[in-house]
Amino acid sequence: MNLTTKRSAALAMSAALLFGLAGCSTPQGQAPSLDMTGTAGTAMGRWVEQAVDLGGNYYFASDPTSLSDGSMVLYGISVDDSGNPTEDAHNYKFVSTDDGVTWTQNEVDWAGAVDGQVSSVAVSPNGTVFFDAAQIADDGSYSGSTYWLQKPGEAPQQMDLSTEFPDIATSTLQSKTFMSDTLLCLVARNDTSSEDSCDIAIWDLASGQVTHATPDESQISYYGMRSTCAVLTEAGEPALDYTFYSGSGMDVSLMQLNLNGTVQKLLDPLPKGNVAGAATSDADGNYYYPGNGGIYRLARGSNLPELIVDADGTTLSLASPDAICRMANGDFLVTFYPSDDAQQINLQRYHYDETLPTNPANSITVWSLEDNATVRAAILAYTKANTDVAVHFTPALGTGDDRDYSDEGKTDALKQLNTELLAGEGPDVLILDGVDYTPYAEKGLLADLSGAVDSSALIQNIIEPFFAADGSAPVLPARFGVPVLFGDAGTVNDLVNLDAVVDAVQSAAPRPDVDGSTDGYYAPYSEDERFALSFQSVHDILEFAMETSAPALLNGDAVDPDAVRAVLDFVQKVAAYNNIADYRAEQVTNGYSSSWGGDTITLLDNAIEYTQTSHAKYGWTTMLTPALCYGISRDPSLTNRVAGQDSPATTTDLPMTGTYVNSDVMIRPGLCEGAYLPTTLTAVNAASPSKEIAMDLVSQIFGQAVQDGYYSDGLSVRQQSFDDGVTRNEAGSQNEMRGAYQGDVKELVAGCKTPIIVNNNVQTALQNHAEALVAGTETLEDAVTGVQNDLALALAEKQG
Amino acid sequence: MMYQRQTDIAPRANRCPALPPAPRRKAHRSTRQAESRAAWLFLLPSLLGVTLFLLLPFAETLRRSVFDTLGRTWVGLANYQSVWGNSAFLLAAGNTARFIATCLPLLLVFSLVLALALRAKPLRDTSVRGLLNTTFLLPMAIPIASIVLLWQALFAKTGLLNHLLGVLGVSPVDFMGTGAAFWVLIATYLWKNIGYDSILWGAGLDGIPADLYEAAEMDGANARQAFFSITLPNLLPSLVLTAILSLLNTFKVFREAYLVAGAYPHESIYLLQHLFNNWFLSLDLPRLSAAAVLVALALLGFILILLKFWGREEP
Repeated sequence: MNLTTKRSAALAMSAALLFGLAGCSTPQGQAPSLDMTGTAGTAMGRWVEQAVDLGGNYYFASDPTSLSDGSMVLYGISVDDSGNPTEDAHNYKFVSTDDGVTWTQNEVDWAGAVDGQVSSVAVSPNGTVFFDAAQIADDGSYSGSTYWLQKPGEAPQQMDLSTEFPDIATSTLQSKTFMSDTLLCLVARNDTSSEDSCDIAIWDLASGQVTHATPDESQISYYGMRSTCAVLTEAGEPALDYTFYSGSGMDVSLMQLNLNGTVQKLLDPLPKGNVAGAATSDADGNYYYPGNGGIYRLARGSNLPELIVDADGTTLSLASPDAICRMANGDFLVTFYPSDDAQQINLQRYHYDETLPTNPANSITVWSLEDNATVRAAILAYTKANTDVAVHFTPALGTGDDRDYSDEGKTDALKQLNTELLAGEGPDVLILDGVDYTPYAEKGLLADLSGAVDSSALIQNIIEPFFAADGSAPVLPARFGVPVLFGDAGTVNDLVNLDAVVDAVQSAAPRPDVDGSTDGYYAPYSEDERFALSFQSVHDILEFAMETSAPALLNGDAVDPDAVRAVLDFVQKVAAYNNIADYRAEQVTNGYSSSWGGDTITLLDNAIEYTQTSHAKYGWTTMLTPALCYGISRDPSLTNRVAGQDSPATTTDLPMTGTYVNSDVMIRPGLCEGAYLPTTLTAVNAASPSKEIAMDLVSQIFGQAVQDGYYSDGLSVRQQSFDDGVTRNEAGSQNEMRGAYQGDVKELVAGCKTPIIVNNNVQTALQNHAEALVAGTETLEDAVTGVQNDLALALAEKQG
Repeated sequence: MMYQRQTDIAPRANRCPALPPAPRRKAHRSTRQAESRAAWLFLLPSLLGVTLFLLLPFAETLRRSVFDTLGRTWVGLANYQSVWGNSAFLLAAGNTARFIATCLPLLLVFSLVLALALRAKPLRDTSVRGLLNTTFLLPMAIPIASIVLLWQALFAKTGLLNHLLGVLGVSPVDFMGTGAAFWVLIATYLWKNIGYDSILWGAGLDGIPADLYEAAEMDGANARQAFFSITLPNLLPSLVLTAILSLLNTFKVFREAYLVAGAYPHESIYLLQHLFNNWFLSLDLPRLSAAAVLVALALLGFILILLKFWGREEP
């Protein structure tokens, strides 16, 4: 090979290499486009969410359904502002002939012809409906349902399901779905079977023939189907795709029920499908479902879902979809479960607008370790009002089944954030929950929020600690929780510090190691058997103290040994008295959610053992809504009534007696006075090129619209919203037969003075030595020294 | 003896066939220029890579070490003073130096012994040698996550080793919570790198002409004399390379230490990388940069010394 040939070959290879490298890059800001109708080089078309206003408050009795004639139909029942059916509850049929843009309302004439209250409707493509009518006794109790079929233009006819489902008299149908105009699939729980299972029956309405299927527990759970969707198989036969919770965790499997009653597994688990309570399909057999991140399409025969509609900036990112329907033009209609923020199910239309550029002119990024409902609500409100701005929010640790719980995952996320920030780049808005935000503020990486947020509208004692001496505020909490302790009225006032709590624990009976999954958990206790507080582990006791004491453990750059000793002494005494060292290693955690006419509260064992079982004299938790104060009064006779039940699995279905005890709530005692837990710690990157937009979004986070909502993640930091929340929940509680809260929630929150942010290193060090202390492998002084030694390196690193 | 042998060989080289006539001067210069261009051309990608990914970042590190966090305000040597006065840095630097000073000689000696053993008569020219070579290299191929699991299974308070000690009637040892952690780390480093280093030594050993040993044997030298007079002097170039690579590998042991014991392990295995990692997480970039510069200078000095004393023997 001569020199010229060599050079030519080298040149050709270099060109190929450069060409290949160039091919790897994509012009920034350009995404694949479905249509290029805009100005040269601008990709056009994106999905837009539009709220559908039906002109009133309704509970949707049916899923939105696309009929054969191209129209859309939806059945609803009028409800009041609280989401309860109105006195003269009317059944309405809503019809849209323009792909869900406008709807006409018609009163359902056949509803009055049946005895009972129509509650649930299934619609076939030709408009035939199958519905159930609940029988309500004079005292308001439910006494069963009747089932009806109504063909277009005909009077409804009652169907007797007792032959096919022998247990139907004592239970309700799990699901009802039309597989075609004449094929109706019904699912009912089978209580007489030796195994917990469900029976499936496919009715051929034309011939009256019924095909049964009894899938085993690997094919359906006792709780039935999570979502159902009529599909056409490759052979053109109707079938039913359904999901159900399988295995452990929140995974759902996608199954297919065929006409002959056989069931086959299509996907296990359904990717991103753990929130997939709804599904729809198209004529080609493609399967669509709303999941984590948006609406996905699973092509027939494929196992790789494709994201069609991104959840960012839409209701999909915030609420749980109840039903989805794909319309003739490819748009989607999605109904959402009611939430504390919206009492009524809401209906959203997702339309692909080809006239809008694919990427809005401006975009900002929000960073957070974990998902944040308040931020999602703010993004939703902001992007609705600013269609030219895209707000990208992907929690650094992932969400749902992609969530990374490892310490390494958190470290990697922080390293990536720091790298970007130190390079003068990075996300525009930062939510610093779970992050030590002090260095970010001290190093000048965060912008001053005082100009963007109207601080005078916020609760002063909550935000004051976040303002620097010069009046700047690099970080502000948009939500907060209050660590509280509660008990019968007049009993909590003496529990002013950790020593008093120890005294209270030691003056009551020790807590036995009760298995929370057995009936014994609800066994009634005599007054002498009642213990003071519910702790299931050393971790629980430490959490009780740390949430009110953490800042006191560090004195500048040194550990305060007296404070550490006080916390560890508290843990040791409480654990020793309750004999926690001998508790079973595996503990069952019970949870209980309820809404007493206000926000939903969720209680765990540490509160339930006071409110529900009355085993504990006091309860403790973190108050995230004023509703807690109105929902924790206990019914002492409840356990007697639970014990009288044949199968006392829960206490939720038991009638209320109105014998509730009045309650008091106080800020949990600890080493810090007036402890509270700030969350949604909001900041803006000082180097953000879109600082103005970022500040606008922050302003939205602290604005009235977002702060008025309750997203189960904390109390509103805006004074007016907080006050309204108190009024709303207080009013709601008065409709219930509950015991009265004797205190003043506003006064309670006014007592909050010290923000508590628990340092991970401190928490880990105390946890390790508290475990050793309780196990008896360390003395108290060893444990204190151990904590000091464990933290010595971390503190030494900070030395100048 | 050895030099005599070399002298014997030299005249033989002079008996080679006559060389072709010397090229003309111009053509000679042209060839040299072309070779020089080709050399630069081949060097260019590597040079670009080193400049882009090492030299420029190091220059930025140097700059950051004399500025504040945002890299805007000149602070002089304040960061260096702060680093020198920081007890965590002194502990980490001391531990790192102690670790290197302990494990480097141990690794070099053990791996050389292994390489010699694999070339000793019972194993030489057998298939077992190849098998053993591969076996000793396996630790390098084991994923870090598996090694961490192994550590946890072996060295935890309730791990296999303590179970064994219990069976033998010995009190259990808190391997990761006491000074024993340092020796666990040393053992891991040796276990992981001994095979690799023995390959490096092996390459050096295979490069020693066999006729040197034959001549030594003919002259009546015993194995010890042959080792000290032939093997070791001829291994000096390999020693420099092996020592430098082993030194650099000592810094990789941080992964195991971090994944097993976290950001704040027992103070005996708190290494410079722990400190750097933690300073980066707390955005202490100026001090991190200053410390990095100091460590780079120390390493450079160490390598230069190695090259000065041992590298000069390189032919």
